[in-house]
Amino acid sequence: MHQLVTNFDDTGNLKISDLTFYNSLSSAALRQQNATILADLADQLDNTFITGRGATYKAGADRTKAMQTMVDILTDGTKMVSDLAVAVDGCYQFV
Amino acid sequence: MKKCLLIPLFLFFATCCFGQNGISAQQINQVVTALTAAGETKENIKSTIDGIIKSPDLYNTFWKGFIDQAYKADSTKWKFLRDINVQLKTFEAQGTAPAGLGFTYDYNHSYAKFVQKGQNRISQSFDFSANGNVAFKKELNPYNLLETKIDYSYSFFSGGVVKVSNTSYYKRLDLIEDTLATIKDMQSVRARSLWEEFGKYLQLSNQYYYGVSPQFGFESNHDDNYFL
Repeated sequence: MHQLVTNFDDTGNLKISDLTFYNSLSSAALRQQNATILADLADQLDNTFITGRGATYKAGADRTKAMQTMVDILTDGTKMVSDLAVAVDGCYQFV
Repeated sequence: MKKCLLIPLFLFFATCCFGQNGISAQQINQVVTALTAAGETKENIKSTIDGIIKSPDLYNTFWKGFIDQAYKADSTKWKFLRDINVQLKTFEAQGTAPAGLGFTYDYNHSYAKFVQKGQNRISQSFDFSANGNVAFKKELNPYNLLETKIDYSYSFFSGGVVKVSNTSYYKRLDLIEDTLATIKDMQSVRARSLWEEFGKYLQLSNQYYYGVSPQFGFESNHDDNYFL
């Protein structure tokens, strides 16, 4: 998705604000309003997991919850990529 | 503090918000009746009334207690309170006029829904927000702004990833991923080879999307007597 170039060990320590899509100059309100872009990223991730990787939603999770969880993290520049990974692990069951 | 005591007190405060001439004797009598019914002593009732009239911090304490009780109840009907922030405050007057009471409010509510139908996905989100400052006597703060906003977003996505029929591809992708996690240099020959193989099993296609995001807003000053 061309969002980072680090290896696995270093990626977890990246902040969301370090990713390519994140515009650190925009206000939090503008980022929240930029729902289409954020939803697009979350949609790409969900589509990749479900269609491309054969993952299923864990019990208690569905597409709405998974997407909203990812959007909430992608909106917050102080969150880490590892936080996104933990959230994904909580929503998806990989093969 | 008992929840039954907080509710009439909170309603009393809310009623005061719409009063232009301060707290009336009738309103005080209503509070006294409620406190008496709750079993409070006369000394506590007098102390409470005196504190209400003089101190916004006491209002805030009651409000916080009310919210805490609502959280403990964990009831659906109290869920909306989690989106509301209300804080009572004093408004300074010019000249020798006494300061007056008022409140600042901030309410935010969001809703989102994501639906997938075959290879097509639809995302919808709705955000409502309202904030402002309201003085019980508008002469004390005539230029405060009451702001209300509604944001709606609709997005349609299609394509992106090719669905494979061979489920053994998923296990192979897992193995490649586990191996890549051990490699430090993503530009090494081995890493590049694995990424190339990864791309053979996870095939991407063109993704198309369109979205609309209308926004509506309304601002008003206190002179229009506009309340939310």
